[in-house]
Amino acid sequence: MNYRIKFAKLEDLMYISHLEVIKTLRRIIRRAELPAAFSQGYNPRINLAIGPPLAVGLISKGEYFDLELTEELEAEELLSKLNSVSPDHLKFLKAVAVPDDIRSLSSLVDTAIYTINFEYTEAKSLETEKEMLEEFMSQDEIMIIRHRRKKEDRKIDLKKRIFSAEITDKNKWKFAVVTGSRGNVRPEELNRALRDKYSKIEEFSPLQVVREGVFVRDGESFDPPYAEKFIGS
Amino acid sequence: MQYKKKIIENLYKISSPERYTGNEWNSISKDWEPEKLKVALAFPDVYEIGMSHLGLKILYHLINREDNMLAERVYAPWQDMEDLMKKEDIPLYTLESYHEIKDFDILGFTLQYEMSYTNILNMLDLSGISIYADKREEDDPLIIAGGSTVFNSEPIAEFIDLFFVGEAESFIIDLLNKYKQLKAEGLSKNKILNNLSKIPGVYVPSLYSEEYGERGEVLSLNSAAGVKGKVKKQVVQNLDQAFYPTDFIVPYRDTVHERVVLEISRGCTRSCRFCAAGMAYRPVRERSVERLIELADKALKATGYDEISLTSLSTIDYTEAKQLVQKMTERFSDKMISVSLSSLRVDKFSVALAEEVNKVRKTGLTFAPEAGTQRLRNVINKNISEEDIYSAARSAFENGWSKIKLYFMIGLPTETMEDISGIAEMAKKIRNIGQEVRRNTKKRMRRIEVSVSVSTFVPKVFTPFQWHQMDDIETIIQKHDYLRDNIKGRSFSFSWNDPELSRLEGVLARGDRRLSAVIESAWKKGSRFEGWHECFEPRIWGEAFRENEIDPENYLRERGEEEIFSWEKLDIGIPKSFLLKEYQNAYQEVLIDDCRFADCHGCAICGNFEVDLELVGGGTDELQN
Repeated sequence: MNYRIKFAKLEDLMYISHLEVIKTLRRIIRRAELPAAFSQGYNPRINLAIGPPLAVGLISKGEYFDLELTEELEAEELLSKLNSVSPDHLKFLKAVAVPDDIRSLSSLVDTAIYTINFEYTEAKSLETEKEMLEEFMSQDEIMIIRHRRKKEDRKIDLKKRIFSAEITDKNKWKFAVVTGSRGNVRPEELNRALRDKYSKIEEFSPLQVVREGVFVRDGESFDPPYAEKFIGS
Repeated sequence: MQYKKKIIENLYKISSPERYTGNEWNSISKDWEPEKLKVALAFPDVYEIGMSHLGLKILYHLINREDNMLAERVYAPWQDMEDLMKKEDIPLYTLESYHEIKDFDILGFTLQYEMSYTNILNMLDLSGISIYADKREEDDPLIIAGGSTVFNSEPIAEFIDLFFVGEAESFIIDLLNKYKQLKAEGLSKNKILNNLSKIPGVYVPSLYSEEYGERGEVLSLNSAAGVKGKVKKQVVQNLDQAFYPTDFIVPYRDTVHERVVLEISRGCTRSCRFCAAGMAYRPVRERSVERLIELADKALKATGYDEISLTSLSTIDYTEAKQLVQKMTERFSDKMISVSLSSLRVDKFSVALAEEVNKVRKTGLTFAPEAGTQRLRNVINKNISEEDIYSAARSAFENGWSKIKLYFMIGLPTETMEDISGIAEMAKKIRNIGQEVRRNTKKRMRRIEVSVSVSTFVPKVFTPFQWHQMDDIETIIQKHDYLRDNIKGRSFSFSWNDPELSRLEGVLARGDRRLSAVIESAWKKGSRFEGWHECFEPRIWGEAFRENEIDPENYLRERGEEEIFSWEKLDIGIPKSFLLKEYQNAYQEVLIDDCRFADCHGCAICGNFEVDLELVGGGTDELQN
């Protein structure tokens, strides 16, 4: 039986890396004594597939992994078992039974939504902020330099990688950007691009960013990867 | 003060921030009520090393069991974190509550190796606490320390208020309660220390002094009026029933030994003459198979680990080893939990046991012949024969292992180049056995690999070799060169320790109080994390010795039979006469057997502690056959 499980990784665990999250999930599943299915081979492991990575230093309210169990469990029971043996800031939010042949998270998920809390050297009104964003997004291209570990720096265009942007409240900018196998945008790069244009925006710490979650883009809308249309009937 | 927000906001600037955030599963955050005694447990190396240390795990859970106490953890910050802390004015803090160290009543260091001493100074300094005990304020935390290098803690005696000697779980709670009571009575720190020094196992260095002669030798050891002349190490009686935690903290970051660690026994009476632990942790005490299974069950459930490691100084010598391993694998293999063994001896039985736990995954097998010839193995009392080694290797290859790792020491007493060439010979012979097995087997087998690792022998206190002179640099390098030239080829790899680092370890291992100033100088010049090869700078230490007019050679020299040793303020329960007899036996190549399976050799430990060996199986050597 397969489950698609949504979880949040919050402040206390913000510096835990993607691989560490996977390891932690495996241990939580063992502690919860769930009837997990194991992979075959010399080194059997709990069958678990996680969605696109979340950068170290970021918190997220909506990450996903798929888990295979050898027995069927009620979603509520599954969640409460997981949460009872999980650190406070790793919270399991939703579990949905899914068919075996559902598209994998890595092939499905293509969007990450971030809310960034900007600070300015001088106060801006909501109106000014909206004008800034509109101007920012109306550029033909938004070039920045991407720094890559052990590789040469590369110039990339953020414009093509931002699906939508809006201001939800004063100082709160919300961006839907590409993630996963089709590309990636780091919040730090958004910050840099904005600072290049508006020097009054201050450099931010990861604490000012929230990943609202990862989604599947469908035209103008963004659906969670457990939406009915992916599960089928 | 607590610094959580400031810390979290800044950590993204450094590497491996998860070393510094805590919040792991099973970490214990107790309320900070004023009446609680607050203890910070410190490991003077980075998080991922410190987290593997069993002694600290035991103390952490033991202290936190007490209603009127709390214990939190702190590790040494890496250089980038140290820079960040200094820049942002963040003092050293604990991972549970993010309280700064000064908020604690007690800061306790565990001493695991000499190469972490500069980190201790650094941690005191980052806490805003003076490094010298006699310069500290009345309301600074009490700085205490214990652990395996406590048996020669003289080089850091001026930095520490109180040492506990021996197995702390036997008396730490009594010690802490006594401290709490004296503190509540309003006594001064000096009075408290004086009072605590009456507790067996407690060593307050400021109450002792020593006089030196012209050649740097110790002329006399003195203790203050009314203070015991010798501090006797403390041991746990009835290990089987002793406290052992099962709700281990589960780290996020990869750490050393990320698994359930079960200490199956403590102590070893093999009597290898170079081995400090073999002398210091006597007598041998074993936990029962039933108790170990119970602990394994609980710990697996509490942690979610998928591996159990059975550890002791020599796992194979556990008198019910076979039964234990069989029961463990039977019970846990369905749950995809693997069992691993540490410290295997070189014999067929070890291979058979390793086979038992490693039915599928066969990575590598490690053997420690320690010396290259039979003669030298007799000198060090490593009681294995050439034949044992080759038959063990053959049996390992036949059982599907293709990688064998061999550990040796160089610089042992009486060693000649013949013994060094014996190391290369043995490696080649084992390679040949492996290739022969591989040629003749029908099974698929990977290419044979033999890796040879040599470390330079460092004479340690309270061992039969404590009198021995350490090799000089040129000799060490010459031996390394020989081995590098003679262990060549696709099937071999060869590794060795930095000779300068080994020599420094040698100085500190048999050092005295005059080294405090040297350690301080090296630390001030930026020395940190000497145990990490990339961090060790011999130049700094050379300068530190010169500035303080201390000749390191004085500490590495051969010691006279009549000499007084600075570490003899402590009593590990084994008389000097026994160690000296063993030193003489070494030169005569006389072997002695393990007293678990043969006659008593008169090390006197049982009588001195009014204990017996605690063995769960019969006291016979049936396992070896």
